[in-house]
Amino acid sequence: MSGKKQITSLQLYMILMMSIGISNHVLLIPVLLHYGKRDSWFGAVLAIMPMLIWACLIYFIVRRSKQEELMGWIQMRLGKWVMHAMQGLVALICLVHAVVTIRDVTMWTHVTYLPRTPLFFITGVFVIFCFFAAREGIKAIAISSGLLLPAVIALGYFVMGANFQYKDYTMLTPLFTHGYGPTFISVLLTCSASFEIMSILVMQHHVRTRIRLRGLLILTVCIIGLTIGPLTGAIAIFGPFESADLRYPAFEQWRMVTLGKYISHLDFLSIFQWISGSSMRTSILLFISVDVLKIQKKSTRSHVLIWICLGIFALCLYPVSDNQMVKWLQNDYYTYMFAAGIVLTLFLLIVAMLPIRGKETKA
Amino acid sequence: MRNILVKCVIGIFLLGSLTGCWDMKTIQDTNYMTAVGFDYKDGKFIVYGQMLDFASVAKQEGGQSTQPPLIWVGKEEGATPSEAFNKLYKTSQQRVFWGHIGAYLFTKRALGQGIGKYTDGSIRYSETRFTQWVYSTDQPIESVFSIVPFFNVSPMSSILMQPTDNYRQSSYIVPRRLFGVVSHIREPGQMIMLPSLDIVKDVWLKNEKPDPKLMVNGAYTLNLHHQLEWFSLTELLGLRWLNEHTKRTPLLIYKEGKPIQNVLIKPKSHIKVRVDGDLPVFDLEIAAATAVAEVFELVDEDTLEQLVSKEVTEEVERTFQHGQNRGADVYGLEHVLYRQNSAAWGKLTNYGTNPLTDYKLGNIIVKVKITNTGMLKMKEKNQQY
Repeated sequence: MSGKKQITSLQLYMILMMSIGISNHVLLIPVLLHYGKRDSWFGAVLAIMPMLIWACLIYFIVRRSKQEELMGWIQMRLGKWVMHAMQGLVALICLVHAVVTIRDVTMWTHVTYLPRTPLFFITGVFVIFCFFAAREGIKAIAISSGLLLPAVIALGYFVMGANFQYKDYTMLTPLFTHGYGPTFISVLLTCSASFEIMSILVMQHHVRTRIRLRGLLILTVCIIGLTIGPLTGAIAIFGPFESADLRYPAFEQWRMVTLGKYISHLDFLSIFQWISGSSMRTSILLFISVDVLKIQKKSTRSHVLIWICLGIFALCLYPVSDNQMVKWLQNDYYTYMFAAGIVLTLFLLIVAMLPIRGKETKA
Repeated sequence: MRNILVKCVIGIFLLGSLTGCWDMKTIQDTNYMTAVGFDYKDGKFIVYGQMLDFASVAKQEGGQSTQPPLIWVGKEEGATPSEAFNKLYKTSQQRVFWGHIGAYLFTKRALGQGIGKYTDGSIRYSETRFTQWVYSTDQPIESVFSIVPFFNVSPMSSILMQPTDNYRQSSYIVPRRLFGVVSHIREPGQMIMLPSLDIVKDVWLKNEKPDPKLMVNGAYTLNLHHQLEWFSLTELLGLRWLNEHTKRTPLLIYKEGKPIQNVLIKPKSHIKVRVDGDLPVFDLEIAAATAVAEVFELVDEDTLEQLVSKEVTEEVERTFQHGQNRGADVYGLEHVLYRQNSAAWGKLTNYGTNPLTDYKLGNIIVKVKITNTGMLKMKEKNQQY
């Protein structure tokens, strides 16, 4: 890695909006609806509170690590072995996220609009694209996110507006018909998915401008807002029970769009949204998983990346049914990610609060 | 230099390979299903598919066609609706595309099986959407599918597939799209009044020969408890006052048995429940924005407001009574109870296992507001000189 700082904090936020936005849209919402039903949207709204406090903690870590390379900072404070363990953990988390993202987007593609195109082909093309983006580096990913995100957001508002004719927001109530449990679970799930904001810590050393608290807070609200929007939309159109049965509630809203008598079938626009989100997400995850290993030589990095991509490709084609994956997402994935988020935050907070050692003051 | 050349070759190859897309469907090699009908008989699910000639669907230059539109209706049966559809493929000659279906039509026998059995397959399939109109009928499905609207235009312009404009001009029973049916039917205590279509032969004549047309003649009740009852349009006149979609609905005002004025109303209603011991009582408040459409006999505004209010109240009560007589909660009042007081709802219905049986209407307040009198003044036309 060249030590150059390549992107601005705004670009970093755009990458995160893209990559967390897509998972909060398409992975999280079905799970939220499954557990929270009608209360899920309220849980998502409530999650803003703890997440804002949490964002302040992240900001604290950013400041204490002086926005420098996180692994080096950990090594300086706790030594080489802890750093290696962290490297492994971060890379592992990235790869799990990448596999889930690719599996989801390719299965969706296969089920909805390319039923006759073989799955291995869709997956292959997707992985190859993300490989090149990740190899090109964070700057390329940041620039493409910056180009894609405005269009994705504009389309999001379009689908929201076009569907107002079908929405019945009275379906958002009554709340708490099953006690406060479903709301609480929804809060935890939303937090669990949004903990991914933590990935700025492993990208912060590429950012040449200062990461500010205000930026982090706005980012947090936006990312949770990205969940609340389509979630309330799905409940208002399909009701809590039918939308909990839908495999792709966000996409289903796109299919509803009709403008007058002659314009309908605009769901192809969501392909643009979904593919841009997923490819940016996968690319940045691949990038992080290699970047965190701190390999200096470019050709070695490419080789490692190729092997990672091949591994992901194989895992994505490993025959697990979509239903099994949905079950796994519901039962395990978000629990693990919640645990990982909490443990990592606590760990980094402790690291940040360790007294400054002599070596560090010299550096 | 060599690098650029390689990139160019790859680019050209990629562009070329696009045309060989696996999922390419060409328009002329596809059959487009436009409406689907469901029936049920002797343990078999019967499906109907309607297809139209493209020439009658698309607008053409050089005036309209002089030929009546060509309509094909296919019919198959199977142990499940999807099996019946799969059988339909055997005779469909080309690939069938389901993404342009405009309406689902159910017979009473089909509805008796529960609507979910039919919709699962079509919702699950990636081509169909949630926007189709849903209707019921007591007429043979093939006849309903073969009714041609006016001027030899395609059946895609009938109220089966485009009911909105007609409903906006004269609102009685609100047309339903599939998403509304599947979302509301799963709401506790909700009642869907599914409009039913009839074929009317004696209203319009084409060159002095009867020309059959479609009409909404009533509605079937659909709810979680599979309680299927049919009510005629006359029995359901009160329904329009409580529906939020009602845009413009006519009402003839009588005074002492004599018709005096015709008004057009856009109502806005609000239901509030109070639980009296174990008896939920529903208070209704209806704000009726009224426009005078026809004056036979002049009355002052206050009297007119009172008469309108009386008429609306009576219609609401009458429809409620018709529902009560047949044990159907036509206004979906149980759902209002669930929404406003879910604890009481849980107690009275055992959390939705039993339908709500004991409930009554409380105060019905109709606030009439005369907004305009159309293009004429509200004035007696006296002989003048």
